[in-house]
Amino acid sequence: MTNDALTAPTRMGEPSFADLLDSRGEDAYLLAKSGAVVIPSRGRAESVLSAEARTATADFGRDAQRAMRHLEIGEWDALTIEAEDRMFALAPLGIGGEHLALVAVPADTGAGYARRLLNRVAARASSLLMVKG
Amino acid sequence: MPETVAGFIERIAHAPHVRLALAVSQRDGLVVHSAGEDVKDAATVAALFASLYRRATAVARAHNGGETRFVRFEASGGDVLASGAGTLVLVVIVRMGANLGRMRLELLRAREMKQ
Repeated sequence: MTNDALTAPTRMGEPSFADLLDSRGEDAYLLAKSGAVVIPSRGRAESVLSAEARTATADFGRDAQRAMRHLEIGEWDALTIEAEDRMFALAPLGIGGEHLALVAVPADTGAGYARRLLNRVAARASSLLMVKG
Repeated sequence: MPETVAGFIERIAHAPHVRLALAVSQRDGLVVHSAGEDVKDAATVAALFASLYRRATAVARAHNGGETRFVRFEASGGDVLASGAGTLVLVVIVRMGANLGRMRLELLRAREMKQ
């Protein structure tokens, strides 16, 4: 367990990823398999995603893992989505990939940056999940 | 002569480390064109990744990302790359060692191809 996990800046005592994010154009979440927010980007006010967002990510890890196993190319590690206005990176976390780390950065950011941010968010989220037990 | 979707799929399937290349109908997940060493499995792969591509575009849209151009699924033994091209999704399954930068550029260019 790292000091970083215990001292992550919070609003109202709740953990967030605020200190890992460079600008207002960046977001990071830890999601449950239902798509609900477990750890928000910057604070409690941002802890509710739209129904469309929750539905899009619900059970995503399970379905991606099933597809990778069918192809026999190993476990699903990460997904990068390049869209017109933003770039996204997602990765499974926890036992059986029951959680999902998601980061969003501006579209003109390099894919390598999005993956590095995802790695930092995933490391923080894994530590926080261990603290929560 | 401009390259067709079928020609693109055939050509990409012969690139180093490519296992399978597909053009899949976005609407119903059915194979339109396929080529590669795993072509016998094309129908199942097409259905799986058409669904995942739709889900990925929904994630982007729900988080104010706009239109999705390209997705990459990373696994410990390879990658699956996909890009929407009109009513189709172009899917390329590669082993470790594939030139992912080249594949990405090819798929992004292929978005404008005549279907």
